Amino acid sequence: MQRRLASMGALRLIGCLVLLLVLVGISGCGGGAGDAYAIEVYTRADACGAADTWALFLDGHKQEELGGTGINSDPGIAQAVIQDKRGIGFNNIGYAYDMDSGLQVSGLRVVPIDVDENGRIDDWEEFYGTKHEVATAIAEGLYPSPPARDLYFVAKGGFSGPAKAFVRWVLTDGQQFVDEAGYVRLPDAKIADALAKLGEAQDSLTGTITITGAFALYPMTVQWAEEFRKLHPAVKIDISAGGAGKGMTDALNGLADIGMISRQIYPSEEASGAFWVPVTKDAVVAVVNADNPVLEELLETGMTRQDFIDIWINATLTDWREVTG
Amino acid sequence: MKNIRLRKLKDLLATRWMLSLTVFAALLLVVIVVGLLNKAWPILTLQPLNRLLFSSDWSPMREEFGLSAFVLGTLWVTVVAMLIAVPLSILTAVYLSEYAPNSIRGLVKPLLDLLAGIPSVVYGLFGLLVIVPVVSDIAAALGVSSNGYNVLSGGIVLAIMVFPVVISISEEVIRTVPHGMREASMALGATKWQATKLIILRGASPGIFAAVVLGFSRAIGETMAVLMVVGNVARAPSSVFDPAYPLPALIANNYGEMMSLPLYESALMLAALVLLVLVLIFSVAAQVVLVRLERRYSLG
Repeated sequence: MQRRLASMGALRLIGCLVLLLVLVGISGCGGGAGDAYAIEVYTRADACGAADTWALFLDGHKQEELGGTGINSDPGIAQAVIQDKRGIGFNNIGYAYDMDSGLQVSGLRVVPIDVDENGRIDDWEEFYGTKHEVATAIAEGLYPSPPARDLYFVAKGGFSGPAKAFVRWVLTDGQQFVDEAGYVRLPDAKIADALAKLGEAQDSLTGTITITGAFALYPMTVQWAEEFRKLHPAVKIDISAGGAGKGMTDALNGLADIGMISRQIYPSEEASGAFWVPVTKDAVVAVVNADNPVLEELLETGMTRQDFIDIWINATLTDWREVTG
Repeated sequence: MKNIRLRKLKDLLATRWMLSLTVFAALLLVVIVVGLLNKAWPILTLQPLNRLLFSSDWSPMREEFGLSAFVLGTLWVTVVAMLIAVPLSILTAVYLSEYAPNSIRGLVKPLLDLLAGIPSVVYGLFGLLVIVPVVSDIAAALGVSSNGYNVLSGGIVLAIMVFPVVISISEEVIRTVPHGMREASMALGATKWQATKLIILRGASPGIFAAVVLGFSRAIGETMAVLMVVGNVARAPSSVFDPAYPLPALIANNYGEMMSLPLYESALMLAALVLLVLVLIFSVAAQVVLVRLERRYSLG
């Protein structure tokens, strides 16, 4: 009899715990009853260049200081904002615009930045229609930098073997594919510096090149690799994306021949032997859901750097209606 | 004569070889602990352990490495997952072994086994595309503001991952309860449910408990699927609709920062060590409970 009571007690206990959990869940954060205008903030969870660059734009902060729900990877943030009408996030332009059509990804809208902070988007601030328009604006310096930034290839000590041949080709003949892929060409002087830094040719053209790192560089590098392989079929190139942090760590640990990096290189990484050359440019842009409750006003007024700081750093701007005033 | 000596020698060699393999396997745990401790040492000498474990301030650039939000995040998600998975798994196992006709059993079992073999990133994607929006709707229906990336989503995804394992083992265990015991209790007038609850479940309880523990250890260390839906905010959750940041997600997400700061790597290794110690504590506690259960309800 006693045992029977004990076993019934156990069942009841589980039942009570479930009930308790539901109650705690409900009472725990009551109040803010799903306001249709509340801003849902998304940031990157994994160590990456986009978040670092975005934080740098917001007054020189670091990724860890950005508030919001942490989502893994660039496609992850895009997906989260597409699913959330009240959401705001940031993406590399490669993930805010469709790779084939060059138009904004369906379900997402790129937020225009009100650079001169006059409360509206002037003609010269309006260049978000296609990836090509944004790339042109970045090249002309109309889009602020950061969040525009250089993208790098990194290796420990220096590039060697087929990787060196590949990097040299990227900096010379490879640059012709940059525009078409929706990236921004580096100025000629910067390319010349990079080639000088790379050093004299003693390139081998057989073997495998392993490349990991920034999502921002992934589509560009894939295209470069395809073109390069047409010229040198004996070279095999493995590319995977996992964030700039992974690219750096893999390169410095010798797990990858080339790390793709989309942020500045830290002094401690340089001290660990990071050798880098810039290869192209892109930018990070703010994105909202295409059904954002204040979309029309938002596209007219744009958002200022201070708006972004108040959203991601200070967490004081929490209502979409306040953004458009 | 010679032949026997050769055979003895072979036997001896084989025994020794297997002994050394066994020792190697057992030593791995020690090697892992020592390795992690070695890497975590720099931060342990610089900052007091209680501050590292109980502070909730995680700002690596300011050299603040408080892990408490991550430890609590791990526990929240795991406990929620087990609360969902355990009742569901046990009742399913009881149904499959005691009530289900052979045709249903033959259909469901292989499906569950397949479920157990799906890679965790697939569960993560499923969570992202299906569970997160549903949980967001549930939160809205309850008048809570949440975007769906929270403890509950993580718990549900984990529960789905855990229950094939728990069901499959529990079901096997329940089937090992001798048939005579069912018949005896029913001969005394017990209904089928009474026999199941009072005789079968009790007799199988040590095995079911072991199955739950196995599920729990899978849940506490699961990284990818949870990381994709749990929100990754470094703040201790106070309800199931708050985001959480479990320890495995912390380690996986910040792998790339290891080279950026000298102490960062050390802090991540400490996080790994803390996770390992948590799992060890639970395993030892589970072992103690298991021994007591076996003594109390043994069928012998």
